[in-house]
Amino acid sequence: MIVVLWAILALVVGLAAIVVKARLAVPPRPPLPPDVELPDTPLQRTSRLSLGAGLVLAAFACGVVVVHGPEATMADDRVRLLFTALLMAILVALSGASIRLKVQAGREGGMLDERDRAILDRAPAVQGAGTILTLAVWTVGLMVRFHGAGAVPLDYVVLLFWSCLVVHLLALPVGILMGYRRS
Amino acid sequence: MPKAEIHNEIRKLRFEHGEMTQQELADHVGCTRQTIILLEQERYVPSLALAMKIARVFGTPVNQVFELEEGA
Repeated sequence: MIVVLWAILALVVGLAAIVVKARLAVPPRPPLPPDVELPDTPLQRTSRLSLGAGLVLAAFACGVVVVHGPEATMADDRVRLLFTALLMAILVALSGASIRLKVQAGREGGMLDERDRAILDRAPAVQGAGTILTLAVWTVGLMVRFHGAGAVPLDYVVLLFWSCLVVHLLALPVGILMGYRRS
Repeated sequence: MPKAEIHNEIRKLRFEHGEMTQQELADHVGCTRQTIILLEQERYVPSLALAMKIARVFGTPVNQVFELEEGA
């Protein structure tokens, strides 16, 4: 079992190294002169707004699980309803913004220009890295916590799914905002 | 992204064309003002299509707006 844990830890470190290398491969844009101020693009504003809303809702959802505990969150109908409602709100807010951006990207003369489209095309790379890292962290955590029991309660599997989905959705605006700092 | 090796005269041409604002140029060519600012600061290399649109707005050939730096 120790070997497996080490293998997973190595995987996490390896993925982190890939992310760091990717960041170094595309260095930040050289700084602009101090008198030049860059106005936000519509894509930046949308991303910032959806990321902010998503983070606030995700923090509330995490708070619910931390306060009540994973098992009680799923067992108590009222708490589960609140938790699910928060997750649905994240899903609607971020998926709505994402679909709107994709539609705009395919439309000539819309709110996105060629630079925005290039940034939007590269942003999903962050989603993949974020989701895999989340899975790796969950795997390590579950193995440490339930090593002796030999089985993982279903409540945790549900939480694993939701956390990966939320990270996947939040990673798109993060990737877009990172793209603006580097291109 | 390293600093572009393509020099451009967009800022000069804007002022020669009735002090056109960055936003006006952006509206004419269908891009954001941020892209125009980065072009003027030579922090972004446009696509050929955008370069040609910009040249068309100023009524000049592309090679009078954009120029490859010596040794590039």
